Amino acid sequence: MVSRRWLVTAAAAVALVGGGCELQEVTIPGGDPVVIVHAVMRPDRPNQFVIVERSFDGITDPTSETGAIPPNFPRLPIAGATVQVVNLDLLGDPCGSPVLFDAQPPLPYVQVPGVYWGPPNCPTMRAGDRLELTIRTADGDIVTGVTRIPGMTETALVIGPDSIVIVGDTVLGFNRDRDTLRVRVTATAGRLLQVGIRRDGMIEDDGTTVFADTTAVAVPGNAIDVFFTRDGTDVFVGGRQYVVNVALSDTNYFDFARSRSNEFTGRGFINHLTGGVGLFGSAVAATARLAVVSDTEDPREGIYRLTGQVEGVDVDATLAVYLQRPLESADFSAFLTGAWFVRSTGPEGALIHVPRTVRKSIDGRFDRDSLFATVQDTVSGAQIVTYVLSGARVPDVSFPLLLGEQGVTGVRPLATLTAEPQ
Amino acid sequence: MSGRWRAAVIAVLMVSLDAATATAQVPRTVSGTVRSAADSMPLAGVRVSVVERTARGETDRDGRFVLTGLPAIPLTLVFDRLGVARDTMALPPTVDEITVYLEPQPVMVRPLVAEGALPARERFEQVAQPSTVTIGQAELRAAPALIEADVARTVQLLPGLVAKNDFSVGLNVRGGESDQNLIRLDGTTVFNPFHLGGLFGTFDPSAVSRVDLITGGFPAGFGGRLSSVLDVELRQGSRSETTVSGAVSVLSAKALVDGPIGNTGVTYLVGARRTYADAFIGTFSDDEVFTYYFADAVAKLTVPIGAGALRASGYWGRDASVFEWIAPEPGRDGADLGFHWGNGLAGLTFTYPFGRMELEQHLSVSAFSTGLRLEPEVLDIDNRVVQLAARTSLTLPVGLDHDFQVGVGVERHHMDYGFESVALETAILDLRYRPTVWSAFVDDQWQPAPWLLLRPGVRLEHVSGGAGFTGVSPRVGFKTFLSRDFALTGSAGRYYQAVHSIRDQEVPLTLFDFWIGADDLTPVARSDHLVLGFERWFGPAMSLSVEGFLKSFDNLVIRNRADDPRVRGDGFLVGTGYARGVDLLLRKHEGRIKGWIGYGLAKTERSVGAETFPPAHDRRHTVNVVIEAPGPLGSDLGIRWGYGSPIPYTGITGQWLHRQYNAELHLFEDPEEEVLGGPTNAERFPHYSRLDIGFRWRFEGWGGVWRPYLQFVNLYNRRNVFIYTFDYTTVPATRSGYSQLPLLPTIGLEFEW
Repeated sequence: MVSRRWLVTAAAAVALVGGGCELQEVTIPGGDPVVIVHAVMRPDRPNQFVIVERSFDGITDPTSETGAIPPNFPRLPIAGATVQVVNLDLLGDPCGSPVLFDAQPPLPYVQVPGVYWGPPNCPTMRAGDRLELTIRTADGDIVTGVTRIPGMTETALVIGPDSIVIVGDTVLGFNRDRDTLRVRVTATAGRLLQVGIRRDGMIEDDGTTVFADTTAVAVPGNAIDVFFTRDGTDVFVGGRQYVVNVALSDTNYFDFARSRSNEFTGRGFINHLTGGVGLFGSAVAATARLAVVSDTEDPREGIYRLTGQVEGVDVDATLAVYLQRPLESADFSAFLTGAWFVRSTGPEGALIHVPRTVRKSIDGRFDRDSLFATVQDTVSGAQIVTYVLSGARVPDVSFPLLLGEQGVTGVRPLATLTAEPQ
Repeated sequence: MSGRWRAAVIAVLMVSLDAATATAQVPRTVSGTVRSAADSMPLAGVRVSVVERTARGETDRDGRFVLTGLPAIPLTLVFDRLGVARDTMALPPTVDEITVYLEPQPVMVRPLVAEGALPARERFEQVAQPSTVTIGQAELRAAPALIEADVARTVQLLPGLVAKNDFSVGLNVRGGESDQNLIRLDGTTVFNPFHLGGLFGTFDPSAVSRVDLITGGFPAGFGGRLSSVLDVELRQGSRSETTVSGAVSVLSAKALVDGPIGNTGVTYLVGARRTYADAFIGTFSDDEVFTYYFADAVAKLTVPIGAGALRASGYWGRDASVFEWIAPEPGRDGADLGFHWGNGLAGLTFTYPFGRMELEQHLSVSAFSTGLRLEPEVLDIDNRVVQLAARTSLTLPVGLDHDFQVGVGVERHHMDYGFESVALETAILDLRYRPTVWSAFVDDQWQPAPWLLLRPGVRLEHVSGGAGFTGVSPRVGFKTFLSRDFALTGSAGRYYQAVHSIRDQEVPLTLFDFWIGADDLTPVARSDHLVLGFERWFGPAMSLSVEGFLKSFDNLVIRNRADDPRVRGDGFLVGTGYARGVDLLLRKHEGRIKGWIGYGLAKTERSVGAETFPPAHDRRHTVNVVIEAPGPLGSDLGIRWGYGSPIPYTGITGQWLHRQYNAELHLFEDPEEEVLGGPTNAERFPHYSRLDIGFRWRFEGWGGVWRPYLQFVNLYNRRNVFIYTFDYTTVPATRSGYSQLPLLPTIGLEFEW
């Protein structure tokens, strides 16, 4: 009998197995709200802003998710706060001392609660200057922070043997299969070098951001974005143009960017604010553009000359086609350069096509030798029109390429161009 | 002739013509020869006595004896010696020369029961060192543990030790951090002897002969750590025959071979273990990829040299996993994320007695490495520690009441800690530490009176390699016997530690440890111990020890979460602290039912800057009951019940959106929710308790011994809290979390040929 009882006990124990390890959710009292601040002072930008919001405390219901700020608004904005910045190293700041930030934004921004704007080109910021932020909320919270303005005297992009100093809107050629992009800055003050690489003309592209605790960093042309933002895609793709933004920031921003609180210990984030949490930092930046090409290894890659007429407008352009990696991919990107057209409004309000010199990156796809690509353009600012190029490629000889306009119901043929391999 | 062991006596009386003339008034001399009745060979050493007189003699090498001064009367002679049957004979007055044949007789002794004193009892009687517990191999193998027997998990059940959770076998001893334990394998220091973030220990109990744990006040022969000594001794290979043993569990398979090498007296032991979840899943699934594994191996060679011995021990262990981060495609390389950590060590110990002196020479190398790599060359975080050690000790005969030992040693550390990206041509961290610890000690156990044992000692340590530190560590221990079974005990001492792990001790579970060493910026940590208590024995197999302890901590190296990688020495903060408490151990060492009840009462605090807080292992009450007893169905039953009062954690008081700054567009985007922590460790998890039960059977067959076992971890499936997660983005706020081990039945099989 004893043995049987033991067996029953053992069997019952086994039957209990299978309970998960997740604990039941319970409600808890609300937490203490904290003032959250986000601000990066930019001496190279005319407009400065400070985002002031409240932390989630389980008491105040946050509004729905919002996008980038500005132009969107914080989820728990703190309105009615007094926000001011003082240049501690420039007592006679022509902008005033302190410089008051208010909720009225400069054009083209719209006013949203929780975002405070300084006067244009204010406060005065010189490399090495210390700026002090003070925020007083209507609830009596006071948040302060100090940033030291970084400075770059020179920003150089080195590609192969060439070293090019970024001056204005520079466009550089870059072969993703051969080149390495090396960024070097000459800093008078600053801490973190941040290089953002994003496809030109695509604001929604998160791009790739590289941080370095030095004044130089390199990005190989064939680098894969191994981090979560790009899910393993190539940083550079041939046939595309990229914006390279080189920013040098202060220590506050360096710590803000590199630290996170551990979910279980609540420790880890390096906070330089007093009375609140977040960032009051500063940065300077320079921007260049890269026209990225790659080695051509597939016979479909290369340059095609496109000629023809589109509703009376002569077209004579080149299409430089680069297949994406891996080579089994049928997708390609291409530079469309030369005499092209753009749709415009005619004298009597009719839509017409007019000549336009073009240099843009387009995307397409091969199905064996059949080519399909789209060219997007804007009409009257925001309206987007999409043109479609399609045709069957014939190796080494010219072949027709149908040009049409994508409509709601289908593609409206516009012209037949001739594509001639170069 | 008498007795049940009848001896046949063949006496040949040699009649002397002179004998007939002898009279009782003239002293006579009786002589003769004693021989074996089996082969007539002379027997030496036979005692010959005369019943009527006190005269006696003994035969020489030729079996001859001579008895003089005897009266001329009838005499009775008795012949006696080990190995022959005792016999008597009547000698008439006329016979003075005889030859006696004795029957051989095997020595019949009562069955011999070897009753060596228990090691614990021996230590109680002979050693003035409190706070010491020895666990033998049988106890290591019998105590229920997660999946398979585990040295570290069994040690965790002793009083004075706190297990933060089921997933960590890191040892927090009397308020100390897990890097403050001197863990040695056959005398060689082992860094982080744990697998899978501390879920499993690295020592295979079947290869271990004993484990000594000293939870405080350790003597002058030990140094380099603040809190405890865990001395693990590998067992020597069998001297008589080759033995193959092994085990299979749901986690791993292991094998161990030991035996003699010919008739040289040399013995060996070789063992290895590996998990097989990776191979199992890879074999039976095309989709699932699980690359994590751990493996370890151990070896020992014992070579007798004269009266001494040379022992070579080695250990290797590795945890590793490589994930395909990005799949390779034609024309484009992929990326792999890999991590690994592990140990490797080799030690050589030579012991040799010179008369009443004994020399011990130890040489060793011990390495530990941790690495995290995103290949090819994207990210590389690497920490390597190599310790080269040499030490010599000499036991000197300064008096019968002294066990006097002197020793010197040196430990050279190479510690590199790097964080770089070759692809991005940037290095974030490149730290090197080269502390060398020179040490010398004098340790004397002195028994000035039968009721008193004293153990004074002093240790001198000098740390070079930038630290320029010299410290003197006095140590003393005492034991005062108030009765044969009751003694007051105590110890005090100062301890220094020159190497530190900068793991975040507050995180519930960490995979990696990063070691740094003392230099011009990194301090040498210090702790002072005071231990007072008593030990009482109830009969030969049950003991009770109660000890109160007080510990201070100074120059503790605590990870700085806000470290600036450009500032050397900014990777840590310097803290202080204390621990105090009482440990109780009631232990039944032998018998049908044996085991122990351990209770620990402790309070621990740390201070860093202006902040004072309890560390994550500050558990006020800890109870562990470990029982071995006969179980059902012919099994050996092992039971372990543990209770722990709440341990602290940092409460989460809110959340915020950590936004990313887009420098090109001058805006903030991509917010990520991040927690806001309250005061450090101001909250406490609920009480902890767990019951484990295990059954082990033993069968013989197929030429070997088979020991299947069945274990239930957390039999009543208590949801002990592991971590909490919070959500303040909802109204009201909510808390959920994850429990520690649920009810977990496991099976396994041990075998031995």
